[in-house]
Amino acid sequence: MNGLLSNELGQANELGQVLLPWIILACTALILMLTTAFKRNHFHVSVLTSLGLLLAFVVQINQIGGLNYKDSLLVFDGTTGLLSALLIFVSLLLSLLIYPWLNSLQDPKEEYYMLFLLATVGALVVCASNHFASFFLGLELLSLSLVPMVAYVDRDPKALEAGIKYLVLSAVASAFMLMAIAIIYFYTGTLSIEEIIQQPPFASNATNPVSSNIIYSLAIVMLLVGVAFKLSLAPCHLWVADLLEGSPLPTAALLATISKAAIFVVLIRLFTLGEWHLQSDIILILSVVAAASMVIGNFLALLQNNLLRLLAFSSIAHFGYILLALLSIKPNNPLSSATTLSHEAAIYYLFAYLVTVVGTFAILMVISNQALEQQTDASPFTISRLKGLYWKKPATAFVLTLLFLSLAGIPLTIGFIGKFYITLSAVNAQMWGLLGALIVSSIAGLYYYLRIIMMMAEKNLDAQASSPKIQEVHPSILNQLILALVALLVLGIGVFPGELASIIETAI
Amino acid sequence: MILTSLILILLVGGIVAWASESFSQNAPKWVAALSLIIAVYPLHFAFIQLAENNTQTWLINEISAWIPRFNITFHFAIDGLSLLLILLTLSMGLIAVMSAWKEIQYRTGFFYFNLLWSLAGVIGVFCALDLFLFFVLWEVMLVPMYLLVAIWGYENRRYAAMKFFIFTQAGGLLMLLSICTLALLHYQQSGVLTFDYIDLLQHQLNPTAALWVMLGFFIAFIIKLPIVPFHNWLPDAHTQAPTAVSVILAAVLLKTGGYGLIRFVLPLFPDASMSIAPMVMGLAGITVIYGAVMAYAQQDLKRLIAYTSISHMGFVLLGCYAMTQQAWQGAVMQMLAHGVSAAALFALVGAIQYRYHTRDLNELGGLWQVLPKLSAVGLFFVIASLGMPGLGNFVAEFLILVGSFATYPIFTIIASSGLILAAVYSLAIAQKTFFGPLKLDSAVDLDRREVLMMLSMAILLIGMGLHPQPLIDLAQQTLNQFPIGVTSK
Repeated sequence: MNGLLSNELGQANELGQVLLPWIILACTALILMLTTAFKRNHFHVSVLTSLGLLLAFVVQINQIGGLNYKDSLLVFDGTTGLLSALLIFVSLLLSLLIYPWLNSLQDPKEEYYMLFLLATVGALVVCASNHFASFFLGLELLSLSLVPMVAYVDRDPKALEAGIKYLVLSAVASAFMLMAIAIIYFYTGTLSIEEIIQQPPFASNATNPVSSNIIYSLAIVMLLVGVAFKLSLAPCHLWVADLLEGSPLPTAALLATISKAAIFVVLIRLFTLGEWHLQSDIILILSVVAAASMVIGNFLALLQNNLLRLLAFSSIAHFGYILLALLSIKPNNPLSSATTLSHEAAIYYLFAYLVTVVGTFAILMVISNQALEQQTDASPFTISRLKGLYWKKPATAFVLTLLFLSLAGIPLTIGFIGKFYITLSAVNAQMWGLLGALIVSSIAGLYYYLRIIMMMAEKNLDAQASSPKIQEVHPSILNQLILALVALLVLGIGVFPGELASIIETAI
Repeated sequence: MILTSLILILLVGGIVAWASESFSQNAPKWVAALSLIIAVYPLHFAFIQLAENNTQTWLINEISAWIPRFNITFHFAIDGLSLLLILLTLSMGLIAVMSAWKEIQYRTGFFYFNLLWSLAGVIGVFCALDLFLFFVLWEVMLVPMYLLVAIWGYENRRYAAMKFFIFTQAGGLLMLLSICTLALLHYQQSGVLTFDYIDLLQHQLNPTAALWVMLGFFIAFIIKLPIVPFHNWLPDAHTQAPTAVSVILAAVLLKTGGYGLIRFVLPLFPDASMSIAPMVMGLAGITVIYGAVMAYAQQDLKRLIAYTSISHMGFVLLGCYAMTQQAWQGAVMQMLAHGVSAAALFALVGAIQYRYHTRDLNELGGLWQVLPKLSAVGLFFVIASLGMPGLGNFVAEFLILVGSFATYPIFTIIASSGLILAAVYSLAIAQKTFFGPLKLDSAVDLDRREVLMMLSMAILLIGMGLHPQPLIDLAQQTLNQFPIGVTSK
């Protein structure tokens, strides 16, 4: 009796410990709400948000590798810990960047931070979910917080359009997923991702495999549709460019990074726990999706003149690349029998992608703040605005070049290491066709990244006449620090990737 | 840490050069020249090893850990072949700095930064023995090169830079695939994951796998060399690049392709190389002829020389795949001699362009009347590139042809007709530029800097032509390691 009680207490204790970052973030959101109810002060709210995130980050970092908790709803293993830390880190960086933009708005500002924190918590829940109920709760918390964030600037028709688009499409995607979950429950009688595998028709000793059951296959496809929408993978990618273009920059950054990364973690979990590598139909569907995402994403990005649309399309391609790592999860490969190469590849690439994209958005925010101050009505994100950036703001241009080289996967950047991981794991799984698609789309991708770098390197002798004066406004010190940090991460890990590689290897 | 310090000197030199721009517009070039000279110093350890007559393969061999997860190391080592190419890189780098001395006035700091960093990358390529490290450096040398063409190039620079980068990157990705496959196949057999060249050398692949893996490397290298179906980027890049960059491109960057073939493709995949050799020899023959014919058809002097480079690189490929010792010696000699003679020709065109702002053969002519010094050295280098006995190029081409005649007589006969075509285009250059009626105003002849630069290259070429044995001996040890080929015939 006594032993049982202490066991339960220990369990509860441990749960409290692993949930601590969530609790911190949720409390921060509550405190924000309370303080705002009494007195609105944008600066305080902003600082509080960042502090809360920082605290959560420190706690989360300390937990990496240390904790191993699992119950029916949630799982906290190495992957969760690592990814949670990464998500909080990205949120933290973004939260530091929001202030100047929000400050220029006339609308109430403080609510944005609350939504921001809630979206982060949602992403963390999704990331740790071990059960379709917790997954769905987290997902809705994430998407529903994002909807008002997308449409936050309500006088901007583009933002409203984007908000409605996101609301409707995300609801449709959720509906697809719910239906899929319901069917899965109907067949297996459980919502726990882990237990599903033990039930027929998934269990390995089942007489009829999944593919022979048409309704069950339909459920899987619907689930994949939902996930593909959230990740903006190829057939469900159409919303992402409009959304990134229309929504405010911090929201766009959140959409492009956190919301996608969290869902991808679930996809990894589904793939490994569900032993999808045995289901040839799922592999086929995902392979087609991956190839299409890589090719379509990069080819659509080729001729974009708007940086945000370009980033949106390139993010489609990047998630196509990461799918490669997922697809190469096969326990009987030469390397993965001993280790977990494909897993590491996916996580390394996610890390590389998130850091790089956050950096890119940080630079875009600098540029857009300047545009706001100069009251230019033209879209601040046309590529030609970057013309001659090298000679006006060498440091910013250098960082942006680094980030684009990283996205293009050129060595000595973190993006290359990610690509190397993916190539190695794909070669390991002998997916030659997809590797071909990877090469073709990488080369196409190189073209548009180089196009931007070229634009920045252009000799801009008649600069003053043609383009708005970017050079006159200096980014704040905080902005500069963040850019420096991101550049250091991209370059530092690109040159010495060993540390991070061993951290990821031991955590998983 | 000798080789690491060699590379670091150039990297740090680049940063210093960039920073020094804020003191004076002229400071960066001095910094660049100085760091290239200092960089020679670490190499004297290699010469000490040579003087001691050590028989070990690697003169300098350094390993330190890099990415333990994949057992990837900083493995730098040089043997005779690498040493020769590194010396070529440093000296031609110096020539490039000298030829940019007055031409580059725009953002000099950033220019010399990029120049030194790309040279550092090239040197890294010549001494990296870990395949992953090799790949990284292979790609890294491109980025500064790309910026050099894209920023300081002539009118159509953006197109040329983009083409250059995308071509080489495409080859690079194929090579990355091959490297991963090779390492994993090795892992499958031995249970050790390694990217180390020396370990992978022990590995015997099955023939099908070897063929495919080899093709990835092969295509990457012949794109760089460049060989005919993949040569397309070179004329554009050369024509649009500023003089100094053309010098580096022709003298050094193309040689990384030839080096890759000799260092990696032939030793790692001997049987697969043997099996594709007839086709490659055909390709090489086509390249020699095609390059020469195209060269003759050009109006743009720089483009013309670019095509002669393609033709000469065809000889390198011919030498590599003839599978005889002489041909390999010839291929190495050709890389060195062409490195010097092509660099000289590009520097010469640069000098003409600097004076007349044109490189159109129809507008030039009769330069001997106004620029006797320039025309005289010009004639010398034109004749060198045509393969006149007594100069480096002749030794190289002779060795290649003799070596490959033993194994592939028909291709050799085809290729040797390239020598006649070489005479045709070389004399065409001389005739259209230096002789005939004068169409332009007079200009200042070569100054002391330019004379020094040209003379030193001329001396190098004569040295190679009259006494090539030391160079061949240096490279010989590398070539002796080859597990294949008809060694004595």
